[in-house]
Amino acid sequence: MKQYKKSKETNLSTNNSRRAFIKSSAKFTAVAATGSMMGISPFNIWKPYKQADDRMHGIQIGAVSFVDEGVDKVLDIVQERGAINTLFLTTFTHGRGLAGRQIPGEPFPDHGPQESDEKTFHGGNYAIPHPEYYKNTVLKETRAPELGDFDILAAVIPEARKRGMKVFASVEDQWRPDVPGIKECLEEDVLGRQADTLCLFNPNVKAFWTALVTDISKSYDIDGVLFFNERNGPLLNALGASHFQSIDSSRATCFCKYHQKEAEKLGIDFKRAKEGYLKLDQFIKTSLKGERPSDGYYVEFNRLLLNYPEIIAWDKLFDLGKHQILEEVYTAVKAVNTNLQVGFHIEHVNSFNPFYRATRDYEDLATKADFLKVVAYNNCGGERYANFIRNIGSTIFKDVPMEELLRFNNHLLNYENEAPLDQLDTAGLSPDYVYRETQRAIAGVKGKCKILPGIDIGIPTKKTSRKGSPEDAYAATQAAYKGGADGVILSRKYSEMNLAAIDAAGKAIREAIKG
Amino acid sequence: MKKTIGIQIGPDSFVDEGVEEVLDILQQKGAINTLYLSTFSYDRGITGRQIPGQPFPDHGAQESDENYFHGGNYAQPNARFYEKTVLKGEKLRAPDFGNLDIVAAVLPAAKKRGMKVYCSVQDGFNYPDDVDLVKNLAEVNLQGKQEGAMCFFHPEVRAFWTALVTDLCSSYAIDGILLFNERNGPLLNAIGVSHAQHIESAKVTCFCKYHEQEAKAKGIHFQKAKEGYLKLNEFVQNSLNGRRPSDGYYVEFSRLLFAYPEIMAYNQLFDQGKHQVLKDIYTQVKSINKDLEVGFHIEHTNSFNPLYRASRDYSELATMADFLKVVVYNNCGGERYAGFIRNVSATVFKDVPPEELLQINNCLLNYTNEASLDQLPKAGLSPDYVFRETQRALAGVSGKSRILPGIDVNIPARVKDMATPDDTYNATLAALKAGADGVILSRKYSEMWFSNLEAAGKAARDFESI
Repeated sequence: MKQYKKSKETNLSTNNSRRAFIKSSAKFTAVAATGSMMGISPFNIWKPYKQADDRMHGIQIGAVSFVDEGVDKVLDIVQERGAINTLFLTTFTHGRGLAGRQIPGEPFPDHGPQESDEKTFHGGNYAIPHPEYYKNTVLKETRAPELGDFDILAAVIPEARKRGMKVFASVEDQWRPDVPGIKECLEEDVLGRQADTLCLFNPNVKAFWTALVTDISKSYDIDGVLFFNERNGPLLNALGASHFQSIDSSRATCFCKYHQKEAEKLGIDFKRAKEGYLKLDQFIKTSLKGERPSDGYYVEFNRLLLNYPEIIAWDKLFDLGKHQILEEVYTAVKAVNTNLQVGFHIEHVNSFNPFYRATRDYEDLATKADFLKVVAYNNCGGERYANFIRNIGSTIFKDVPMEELLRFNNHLLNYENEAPLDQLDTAGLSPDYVYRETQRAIAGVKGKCKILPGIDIGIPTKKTSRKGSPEDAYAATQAAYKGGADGVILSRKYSEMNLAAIDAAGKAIREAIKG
Repeated sequence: MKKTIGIQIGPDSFVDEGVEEVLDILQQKGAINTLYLSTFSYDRGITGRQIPGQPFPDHGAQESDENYFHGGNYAQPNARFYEKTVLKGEKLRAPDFGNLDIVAAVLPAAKKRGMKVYCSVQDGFNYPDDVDLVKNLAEVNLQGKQEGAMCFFHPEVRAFWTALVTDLCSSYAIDGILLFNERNGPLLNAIGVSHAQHIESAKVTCFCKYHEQEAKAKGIHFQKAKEGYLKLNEFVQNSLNGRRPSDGYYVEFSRLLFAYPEIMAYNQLFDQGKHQVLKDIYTQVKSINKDLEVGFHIEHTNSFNPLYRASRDYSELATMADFLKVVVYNNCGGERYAGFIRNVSATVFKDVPPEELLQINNCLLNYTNEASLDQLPKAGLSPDYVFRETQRALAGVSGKSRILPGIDVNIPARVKDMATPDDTYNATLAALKAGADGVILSRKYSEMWFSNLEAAGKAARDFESI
């Protein structure tokens, strides 16, 4: 089992604060700057990376980057500048978080085409799907069309292998409404409307994920699969207990026939659950309007949970469906080859939200994963955390001033020295946050799986919010390693990262390797 | 309707000071028009002279009753009402005052003065060793030991409470019953979420066969509930010993509730049992005479603890009570509230500095301008607290039952000096100004000072003249 120290005991808040990290990285910045002035690119400052440990120093990259910039060139950059030894290739998604060029409207990084792909971006499977695997699902036609015949796995794996790099296929539960067959798979919200997300108990959906990872694992010489599913259950969604900026409690899902059937098996009363969520919807709407219950918002919310234990049970049912798919993905991949590794992306809300934390037991997750990519995006984390606080401060904690609520939540989460609410957007979260979240995850999995924190490299934020600098990327990466991580995954996608930030992360990785 | 200006009073005071003399004092000094006579109780909170060790007030005997205080039924139990119960009411006669029947002694004198009389009946946390009959009806704790308070689901316990109020309501021309039951469920007890000064998560109740049966009937998995409470005990003990879970105390606690929904369900089962007894009593009293009134004492924890608040819905309680005596003891409330904060800071919220937790809790409870944690025991809670809690209760019952806040008149406190007359005046006036249907001066006449009683009376009279 890995050795770790609890954050409480080894409080690095003083020397791991953003200021301290910036100070420690100042030397690097100075050298980099000097190098630039002398006409030497930072790229040339370091010696080529030698594989000296078994940690995974990874990066997420979408297909478009290889098409735009060339496979060899991209691999050169990430290996030589970023010290990357593991690629997480975005193989299946319809989401822009992992695939596509820069998010439309955001400034382009200093590489790749400086033109938006909004007219061409589609999403889907960027490898070649083999129909024989998809016989048991209606979701058969998912090939991403926008890059022609380009098969990201076929194109990148051989080149990566030549360089001794590992390759994982990233698969994300993100869809678009025009995928053939999708209408049969959609969730149903509490008002009976079809949602745009897929039901995790729908047999077509379950069969699809198993088919997809089996197809990829059998058809390509990959090292494993990284599975992304950032979706939350109906309770957390209804409360807006994430970093999203809107709360629509009547859109809580899923109340379809498959959920109903599953609930029946588990002895959960479907009608009572629906009734509970309708009451919750009412509570949220009146809270948002400022109609204070006489006993207070928090008490009224808790009373609802006491009167309708089905609310929590239904939320747990959602998680059960989600985790069941993770388990099926894990089993399917291992059935192809026990040496293949399976990892799960653990979403950002896991950092901010104590309720969510309570529903995600690292030790339990470690039983169905070889590694966990724990999101510890500190730069965009500031505005996201602020949103979370504002969301819950508008409903269940509406009686508590937001600033006090933030401090209270910081204590629950073991965050120290983070910015006040009005400055969180511009300050971001500190490298200390990365360190603490890494340590928490390591302590949680108890050595049963690896922890690879996801590092924020240029993730877009609002115009007025903090923009990640190379120093930020360096400090965050360094904090993860200091926290005892088994590696890192630079996130979210190469196509939104500036090269200077990749350089900075690479420097921290090299330092970690050196020890 | 005329405001109820009530007072809680035990038999000792009438014995020590004389019935007419006491009634004179109450009427003249305290403007009292309603008596809540401690009729059935084993608890010093509402019976007996001053709590041993506390200074005696400026009236009554100046000597402790420790050598004779026992408790029980201070009226004359009539055996025919207990023929079908195992717990024979006639054997629970309080021995403290020989043949004295407090209700028979006070009722005629009070009626002559136009005063209303309610019998206070209290379900205690425990019973004297010599009350053998109760032992077989006691709860079973998490360790399997039978002791302490009586189980709500034991059919004989329900039968006893019904028989007792039937006896009182049939035997005396009283105006009604005020029922006291301050007991909390196993979850709240396990995490020490009251103002009690100790946390005994290993001894939470009740896991007897009647609870098991009732749990089964309601679809609650008994073994899972027990398992959950054993894990909760482990969590609490680890927390008290400062063993921080890697995800934090609160997250670990919440995870336990997610993993064992039976913990919450079993706590609710306790409340259902408690409320079932309230309902039994209400129904029984009304079946004897629908004009008789039934009230429930709502304990102090209801003020401090948001989780407790959530489990007590005023609008639901109003369906089974004519009035609610809502405890708003502001003077002793300071140290009690601080005790609650310190308790939850030692377990579920151990990651939060207690002072910050207090501020957050104040926000959740809608308390403003109360003292800081270190000052709270000395400062007490403000009259504004009385005002807000009264208004909250009134809003909660929506006119379906009357609200009579319980006013702290010299309730002993460990740190705080005794309430001044001004404290009493302000608290009484705050309750009335908030719209209360009256007040109940608490906890017992035998611990109140005359100047405080006069202050309460002045507030009642001043309010009437406004």
